[in-house]
Parts: sequence; C-alpha cells; structure tokens
Amino acid sequence: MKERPGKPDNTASLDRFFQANSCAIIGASANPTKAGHQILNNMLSAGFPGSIYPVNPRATRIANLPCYPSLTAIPGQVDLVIITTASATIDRVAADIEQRCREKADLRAVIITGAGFAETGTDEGCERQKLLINCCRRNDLRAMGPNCIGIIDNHHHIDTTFLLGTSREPGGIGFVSQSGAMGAWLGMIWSSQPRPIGFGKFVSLGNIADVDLVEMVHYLGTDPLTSVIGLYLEGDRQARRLMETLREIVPKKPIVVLKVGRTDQGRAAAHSHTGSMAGADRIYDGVFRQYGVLRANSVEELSDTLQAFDHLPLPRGNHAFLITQAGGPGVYCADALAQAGGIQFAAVAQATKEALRLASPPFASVCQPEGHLDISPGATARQHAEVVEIALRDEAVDALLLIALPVMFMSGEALADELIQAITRVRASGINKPFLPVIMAGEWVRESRRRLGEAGILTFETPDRAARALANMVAYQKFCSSSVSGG
Amino acid sequence: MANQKQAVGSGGKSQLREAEANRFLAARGVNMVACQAAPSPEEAAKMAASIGFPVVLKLDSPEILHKTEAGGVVVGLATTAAVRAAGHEILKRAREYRPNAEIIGLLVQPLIKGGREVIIGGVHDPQFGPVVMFGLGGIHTEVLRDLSFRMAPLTFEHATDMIQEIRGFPILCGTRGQGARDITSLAELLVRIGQVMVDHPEIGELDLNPVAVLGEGSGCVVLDALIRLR
Repeated sequence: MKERPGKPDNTASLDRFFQANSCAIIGASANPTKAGHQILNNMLSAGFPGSIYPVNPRATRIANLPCYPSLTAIPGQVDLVIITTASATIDRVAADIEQRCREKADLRAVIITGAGFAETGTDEGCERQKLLINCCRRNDLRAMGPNCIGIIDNHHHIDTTFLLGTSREPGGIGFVSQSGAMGAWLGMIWSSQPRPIGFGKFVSLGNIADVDLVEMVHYLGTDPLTSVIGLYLEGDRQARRLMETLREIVPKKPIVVLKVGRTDQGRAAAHSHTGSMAGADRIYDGVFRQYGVLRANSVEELSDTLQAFDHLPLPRGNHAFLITQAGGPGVYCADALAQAGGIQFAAVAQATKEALRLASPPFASVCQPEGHLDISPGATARQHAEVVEIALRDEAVDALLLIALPVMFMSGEALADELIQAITRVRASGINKPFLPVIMAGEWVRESRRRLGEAGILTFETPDRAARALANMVAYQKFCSSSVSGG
Repeated sequence: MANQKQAVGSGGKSQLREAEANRFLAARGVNMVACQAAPSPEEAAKMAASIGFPVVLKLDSPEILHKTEAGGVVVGLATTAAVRAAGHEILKRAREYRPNAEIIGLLVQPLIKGGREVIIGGVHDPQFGPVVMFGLGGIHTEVLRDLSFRMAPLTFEHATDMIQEIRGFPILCGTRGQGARDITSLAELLVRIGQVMVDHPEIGELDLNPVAVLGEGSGCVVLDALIRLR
C-alpha cells in the first residue's frame, strides 16, 4: 500500500495526540450549547496537566482561563489544536495554522471535531477538508477527523470529546471506533456500572482524512498501556491491510471487534459461484477466525469481553465450574456455556466433591452433572464463599462462574463481603483463575456489585453474558496456544 | 509476473474453459482428473477404451461454460458404443442450446468413484485481495450457504480450521456407512489454491466444482474447474 505523500508513516507520531503537553481549543465557548464549551469542560475535568488555551475572538476569559482571539495570539507553546468550529471558518483557521507554523513552529497535531466536510458529499465540504489537510501535511502536522469526536486517554488525562458520563478511571482497554456514538455508548455503559469500569484510550476517527484505522490499531498494538483492543467496524476499503495488522497484534494482545454492516460490493459484479457467495461480511467472519480476532455479536458482548480481558487472568484451559444458588438461572447458564462453544465442564477430584458437599446445605446437588454445583437457595453467604474457594483450589478448574440471586435471608452485601475474603485468600495462596460472579439483579444488588468491584472483582449482569465473555477468553487462549496462531 | 499472466490469460480472453483450466492447475501441482480432448464422438470412444471404463464425457466449448445446463455432461459410460452415442447427443444438445456457439469437441475423463463431493473457490476480492472459499457443494452451498472463507495465503492449520468450521463437517468425518474422507489432502489442496490465487492476481474467480474427496489416504481429485480473469 503506497503511503500518501506528506504523511509521516510512523506510529510514534500518534503520541502527539495522546501525550500532548499543551492544547488550543478553537471555538472554545462559555455557551453550554456549543461543542467548544463541552470540550473545554471535558479537558478540564479530565485533569489535563498541560496548558489549555481557549481561542475565541468574542471572549476574553472562559472557565477562568484567558481566552485568545486567534491561534497566532497564544504566547506559550501549543502542541495540539482542537478545531471545534464549523467548516465555514476553515479558511481562517488554516491561515492561522500556517502563520503559527511559520512563526513558532510548535504545533504537532490537530483534531478536527467540526462537521461540514467530506462526509456531506458536497464539493464545498470536500474542498474544505482538502484545504485543511493539505495545510496540515505541508506543516508536518498529524490530523484526526474531521467530523470526529477525538480522543480520550485516561492515563494521560486528556478528553477532547463532548461526551457525557465518561469514566476517568484508567484501565487497559483501548477502543477505536468508526462511530463516535458507539464509543459514547460503551463509555456510558462502563461509567454506569455499580463500580465504574475504567479504560485507557478511546479514539473516534471521523472522516479519516489523515490518521486512519489501521494506523490507530497498530498504535494500540504497540502501546504498553493497552492490554486489550476493542474495535467498532463498519467496513474498511483496505480490509486486507487491516486484517494483516490485526494478525500481528493478536499473539500479543486480544482484539474484540463489533462488525456491523453487510456490504454487497463485489457481489453484483461476480458471475461465478464463488463470487456470488462471497459477501464481504462472510469474508470478515472467516478472516477474524483465521487470525484469532474475536467477533462480538452485540455491544454487551463487546463490553463484557473487553472488561473480562482487562480484569481477569487468561484461563489456562477450557474447563469451567459452575456454582449456582438458583436452579433455573444455573441451567440457563449451562445452556449458554454449551452454546458459546469451546467450554467444557470441569470434573473435579473426589476429595473436592466431598469438601463441596460438606460446605453446602443438605439439599445441594453436587456435581450432578459434572462441573455443576447447585447449592440451593438455602445457602448462606459464608457457604457461597466456602464452595467458591474449594472449587477454585481444584486443579481441574480453569475458570469459575458463580450465580447468586440474593433472597430475604441472604443479603447481597453479606455475600459480597464473604466473597471478597475468599478470593483474597485464594489469591494469596498463588491461585489466579478467572472468577466470574453474576449477582442478580438490577438495583437490588447494586451495592453488592459495587463492593466486589471496589475489591477488584469484576461482576457480570446476567449468566449468559458471563458465559459469552468466558467463551471468548477461552477461544483466545486456545488460539494463542495452538499452531494456528503461528501461521 | 508477465510470464504468469501469459500462462493464464492467453489471447485476451476473460475466462478459461475446462480443458485450459485443467492444464493450468495441473501444472501448478493440483491433482486434476485426467482429461483428454477428442475432436469427435468416434475419437472419444477410442480414448475411453484406452483410459478404461466407465468414463465421463463432457462438452468442450469456449462459449458454453456451464456445461450441465446445456446437457453437456454424461456420467458413467461403460462401453465404446455408449460413449459414441452420448458424444453425438452432447453435440446435438449443445447446438440446440446455443446454435452459433463455437464447439471444439469433447472431453473424456475417467469416472472417479467413492468420493464425497465438495466445492473450493477462489476470489480476488476488491477489499481483501485473494480469498479462498470452501463448502460441501450442492444444497449445502446453494441453499444453506454453509461455507467458510479465509484470506490467502493459508497455512495448513488455517485450511484445516476452515474445513472444520462448516456445519456439515461431520459428513466428511464419515456417516451412514461412508468412511472418513481424506481431510489432510483436502487441506493441502486448499493451501495450494490459496497460493495459486496469490501468485496469479489476474485470476478474478476460480471454481473447483466438484472436488472428489476420497477415503483417508487416497487424496482428492478435482473433477471440474473454471477460471475467470479480472
């Protein structure tokens, strides 16, 4: 693939966005209905450590910061420029960038959040985009967008978006999205958890006039702060280059993709059998599998799987043990595990079965069938914790799912406290296996799940969602340990 | 690259007929069914006798590529008389099917017995480049769309996984009195087709339909092939 002229082809140049030391916001505003207001707010609330320079000719101070009439009027060093104004202002903005680069030569990167560019499909929009990008290329600036919501980096305290409710908690998840709103949705899901889920980086690429999807995915692949990569994908004309990039990353870190949109490109033109069968989506599906990329079928599965990879150790094998205090939900979960594929139930040692029986109430059903312990609704919080600990200590168990539906005589809070102690003991003895508790449901168990989250124990919403997250981890582990990954 | 191009697309054609595709793929190590060209039903009968019965007789025409639709394939001919008669019938039907079509003659091939038929495809996708497709053929492909795709080139492991991905995979493992098929040889064939697609970007689409997968250790034989150039 030929690089476009003037485009610095080094991944390191993307550090300019995430590790900017100072930032100008063109179109910063005191008016809360303006994107330039919310972006400034988010930069401040993210705790951006460098200087922030609002730029707006109609204001002298915004949010207690001195405001400048133009980019060229800013006295200090400026690394990153966020352009929030509409595309109609682009002549002026581009001229200011040119002048600043001539006089100070300090700018390194530009994020263009404004709309009205090539995405409109109009000649005017395309011209404006070209003008701006050519200006960036001439001056060796990397550009993101236009028509994007920019980036969030919770490690480097930067948020150039106007999104609501983003968690500021740092984590290992890196997410690249062909839609800003999909990123917003995930961010809201994570920040709404009883214990908000953190993430590392979020990127929305918009029109991809300069920084493209493959480059950004490659960057996250090399980023030491990113432990798992999420991707919302509608399609990429350079699918082969993207797939080859994903293939290189997968042995180092898992990639979870939510791929939507089924294109018929190529189908109409095809005459033979093979051609007519090969819709692009089918090929995506096969190639994801070929290179060990995990495909999520829903936003929930994407979110759960990313969290699971970031918070849980990889299972050593595919043998799961299921403990349930609720009959039906346990069967529901066993079905989900079987349907997800790749998971087997762990046959624990005879001594473990004896210990489980002793620790359970009299009406418990122990390992009938194998790998399934129904401790019955009469089980106390303490009994839950004991059987969890016993099962985790068995060699045959690679991962443990727990389903609990607190009742009048067992509070979710007590269950959380007991589980935290049990897991702490197990970890202290050097056992680190994926533990996936499902405490149900909704508002009734919010405090229980919050306590577990505070103690670093990830919880899941429903049994089937936990099962699918585990199945994805098992599939990844299997891919990495098989010879397929070597190919 | 220029040589390879020439090897496929002789004379600015957009597609290769079976005899040409057969030669092209056989030269690249693909196990194609033996294929002899006969200018007339009489010649075909003589060839059949030397190949050994039963045989398959097919129409050889650059303008009628979907031979079955034109009544251009007769399977399981056991005598010289039967071959001669079938040959005349095939030529007659072809002239009825498309009166002005250029007809080169007939192809004589040995009948391969005991194989489970599958389909292998190659396509040069505008986004993915060379891609390989696999399926069980027939209704499995046409109706159930039980197919798998991989980007070429493929490793042997990719090919094995691609075979196992389809829902109909148990059929290849042996069912209803049929033994297990030669899946190793099938995977090797998929790898080879992937390599052909990579080496020859001028190929737009390639159909091996059907491929007979024989019993374990006995290999695969490609019974018909069609190549379209980009």
